[in-house]
Amino acid sequence: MGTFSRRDFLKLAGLTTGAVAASRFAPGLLRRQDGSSPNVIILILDAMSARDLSLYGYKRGTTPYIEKFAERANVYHAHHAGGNFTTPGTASLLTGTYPWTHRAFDIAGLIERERVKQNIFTAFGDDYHRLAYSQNLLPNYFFGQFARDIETILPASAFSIIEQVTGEAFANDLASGYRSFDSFLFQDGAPPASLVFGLADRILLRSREARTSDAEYSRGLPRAGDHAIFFRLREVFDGLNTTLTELDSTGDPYLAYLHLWAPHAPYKPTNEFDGKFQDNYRPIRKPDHRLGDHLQYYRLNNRRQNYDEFIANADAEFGRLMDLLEKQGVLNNSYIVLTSDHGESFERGVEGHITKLLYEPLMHIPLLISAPGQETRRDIYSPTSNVDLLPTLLHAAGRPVADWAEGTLLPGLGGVEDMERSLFTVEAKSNPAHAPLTRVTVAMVRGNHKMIYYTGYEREDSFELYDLENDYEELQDLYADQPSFAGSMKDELLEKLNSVNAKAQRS
Amino acid sequence: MVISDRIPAQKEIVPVYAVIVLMVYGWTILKFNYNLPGWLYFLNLGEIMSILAYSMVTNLLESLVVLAGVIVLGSILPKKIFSDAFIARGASLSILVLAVMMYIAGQFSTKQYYPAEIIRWSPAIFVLIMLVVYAIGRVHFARRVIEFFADRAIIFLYITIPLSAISLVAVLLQNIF
Repeated sequence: MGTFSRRDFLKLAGLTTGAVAASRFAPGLLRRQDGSSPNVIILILDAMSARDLSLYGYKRGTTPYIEKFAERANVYHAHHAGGNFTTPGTASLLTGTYPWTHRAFDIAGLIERERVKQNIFTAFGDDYHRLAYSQNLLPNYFFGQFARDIETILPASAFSIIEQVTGEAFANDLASGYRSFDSFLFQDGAPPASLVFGLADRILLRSREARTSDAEYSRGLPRAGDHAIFFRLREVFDGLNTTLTELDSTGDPYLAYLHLWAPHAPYKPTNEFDGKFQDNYRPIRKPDHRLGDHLQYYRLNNRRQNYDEFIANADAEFGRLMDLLEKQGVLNNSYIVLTSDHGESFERGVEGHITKLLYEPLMHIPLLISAPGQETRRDIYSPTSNVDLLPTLLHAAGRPVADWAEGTLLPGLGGVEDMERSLFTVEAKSNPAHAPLTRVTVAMVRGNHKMIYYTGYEREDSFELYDLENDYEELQDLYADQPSFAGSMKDELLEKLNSVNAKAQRS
Repeated sequence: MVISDRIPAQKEIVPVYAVIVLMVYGWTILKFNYNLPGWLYFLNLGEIMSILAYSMVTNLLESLVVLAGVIVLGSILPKKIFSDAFIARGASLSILVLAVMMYIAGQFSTKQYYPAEIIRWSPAIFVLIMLVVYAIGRVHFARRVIEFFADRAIIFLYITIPLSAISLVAVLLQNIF
């Protein structure tokens, strides 16, 4: 007889809870739909910068399978995240609002409590089966906030090899469970706040980790950051395939939000991809930024190679998943959305994405949307934002578009290309969530131009202005050279910031 | 003799438990205070209290586990070695073991660290601790100092136990409804 592990127990508990929640909150799920409502599958590959994808012209062939998928999708070439790390980026996607509105811009922040009902799951309504899964714990805090409007929340550790995630045992109080145990009492990377159980948990984890060697992963298994989740990418994608196939077999429409850790650091590709890009590629050397970390160019390049290899690994698995879903007919009645929550930097002395900077590698993310039955590629070059996804998907599913959403319909899916529209990305992790934004970086993209505003970090505020069409690498700051144009961008940006700060002050 | 007869009296257990509570809760509260300024940036009072409630319940269980260990040890060891000075020996054992655990926990500052050496030497460390604990019971002054300290620590139980009980109720309510 096989053993019944803790993970099996948690899976069973999760499914049972999901079933109870479904029967309690969504009796309509048991009705069979007429098939007219399309399914919506949102796949997030965490920290995947568009600047490192061959789909968008990157030198290394990182994404052959995503390129194949692009042949049947709308490809957005100037798509931007709401923030430069998971919390604000994901919250913008899930709420259709900018960070200064949803206020989840601190490291493990939450969406403003008054806005908890304004999210994609609630907006889709209970005649959709709503499923949420994130290997990254930060989106799970949001799932905890939205729990009443999500029929199935898969545990963060689902499809993992090693997991010691305690918070998910508290299905009715998920956010507090994760925050109390996995981000505090038992958190790795720092002395555990729980002296007895925390220490025992840590020693057990290290022992299990040491015992789990994997021939396929010479550099070790991928791990979801500080949290005790180790996984094989293939098994995670297999798990997604099984989950989606099961959802599809019910015949009811569903919304599946699937947030994977890869290609987020630590970059741990399989042996097949490890070393794939030892090609002496030397990206343009950019000057260190005064607010950056001043890391050396050669180190950044080495790390970028690992990152690119992890992207290629995730790309291959994505391709395999799409093939499986196509064979099973899942794609026939589904919108497939592939995007990210933010990008990743390997320039100007900054590695990763925990930074005050907002250059394109950190905020330019991929977006591909394949509509049911779509067979041709459509390229869209006007700037778009992840805040546009919520209204667009609601529209695509025939739902009323939420009036509280700050995004607009994406071109090609009900919207039109608008080069005059201004989009924002906000970085404010050192600003209190409830206070006006006074220590913040704001990037505003309008047409081909981008302004970056830094305030609260130094004695003087500063601005940068770039022409993204003629200066793809953001090397030529035009702020001083084009005072008139810069002035109009600056006025608009400051007016917007003052207006959101005035609202924050009032509330 | 049945083992239950060897369990120390409640008036002996309470001071030992007070010392355990002081160390176990103290460690967590220290870490809580370290994290609090960051949480104040984005959590409201209720959410911070929720973390405190989970922490208190965890500490309650941890302290009871440690106390159970001390009582079991006192019950199985010959009386002359441990139980005839249960307060002094139980409290000093708790202090030393928890101090070693604090040292090990403090070493876990990276995701790679594993205290292999300390774990390998842990039987020897435990034997050494037991020798010290035995000696404390034999040295009148040391015994009095520990008993005095343990007795004074009881005051913390008047704070932690009610708070833990309220926390337990709060956690149960949060998870049931």
